[in-house]
Amino acid sequence: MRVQDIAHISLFAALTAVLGLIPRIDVGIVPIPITAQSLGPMLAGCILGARRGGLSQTLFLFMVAAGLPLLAGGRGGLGVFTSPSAGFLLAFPLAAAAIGMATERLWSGLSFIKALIINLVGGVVIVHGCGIPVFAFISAVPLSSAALTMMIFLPGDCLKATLAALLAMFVKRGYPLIEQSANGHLRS
Amino acid sequence: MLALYIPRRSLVHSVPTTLKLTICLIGSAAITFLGSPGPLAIVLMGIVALYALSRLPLTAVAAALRPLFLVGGIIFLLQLALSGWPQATATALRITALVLLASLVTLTTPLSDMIEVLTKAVSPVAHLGLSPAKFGLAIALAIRFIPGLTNDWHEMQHARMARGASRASILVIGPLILKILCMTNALGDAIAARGFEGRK
Repeated sequence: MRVQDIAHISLFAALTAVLGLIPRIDVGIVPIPITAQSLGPMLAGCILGARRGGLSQTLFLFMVAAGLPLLAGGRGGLGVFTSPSAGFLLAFPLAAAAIGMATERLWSGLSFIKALIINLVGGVVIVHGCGIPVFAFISAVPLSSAALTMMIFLPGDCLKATLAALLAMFVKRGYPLIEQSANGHLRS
Repeated sequence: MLALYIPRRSLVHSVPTTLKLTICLIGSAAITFLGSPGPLAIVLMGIVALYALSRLPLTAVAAALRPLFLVGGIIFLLQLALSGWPQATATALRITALVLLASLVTLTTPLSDMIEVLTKAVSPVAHLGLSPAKFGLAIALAIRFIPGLTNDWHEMQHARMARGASRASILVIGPLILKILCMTNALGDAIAARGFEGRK
């Protein structure tokens, strides 16, 4: 692990925290509580790649567990890992790693559409896929009701995936971190 | 950057962190499998008694329940509609008990202690290339940069608005990411200058 990697991991963990600390931004006229925090794993994945992205989100969860109020609304501590939304949180490192893996694989031919699909699958499908069953289990409601309740977050999450894809392309052109090394293997 | 820990001199505060975490884990597992409202209410009262024993202010209890306000209300109503009063009450009590118990550990354990114990707990994963020294450095860096990045965010929003935008926008995250990426070079050099390069 190079020292640059430590810097990347720490800063993107900090970024995910900042996304929870900023005041809620309203998207148009819809009064849905959309937090920007789930952008964190998406960005970490498609900018840093699988290993650093996953580790940055793991570091973030570690800091939350240790007692820092880094989640949207000033929440933190071990309590959030026993609350119904725990599954969504725990999916962050997984989402970042999945998005990172896919981005690395498709790096040379990466287009906005591909990046969007990667972020939708990794950021929305995986996060909801982990979050909804855990929610259903902790709140003892059937899976279908849980899924229905969580549908309200889908439009916001899709917007976030779009933003993440845009930024991924932006960074790829200007400051790419996922490079092709001399012997042709992708490294991150 | 303030942690959630509230310093007090109490019995609960003086329990070793590892013991607290173990009790919390075992207790949470037990609570998850309690079925009816009766025993759950007793357990909940016990946990609130622990809060009193640890001399934490009442606001601490309220703050610990913050993760639950909106979600808990929705779940309760859902349960009420689907399974009736006993199930709904039992679920509400169970979730409250779980969150309060876990939050008690957070409120009575200093940040540094938690980091130390959690680091030891995840040290088996060290083969992924993360030594304890580097891990400690990573945490310290992340904590150190959160206020700075938050500041940068607000500055960039103000800069946008000074140039004619009507309100804050999420798009500021673009420049913020670029700033972060430019930071990493200097940061990497600073870390290497302190002797971390090449260390295991």
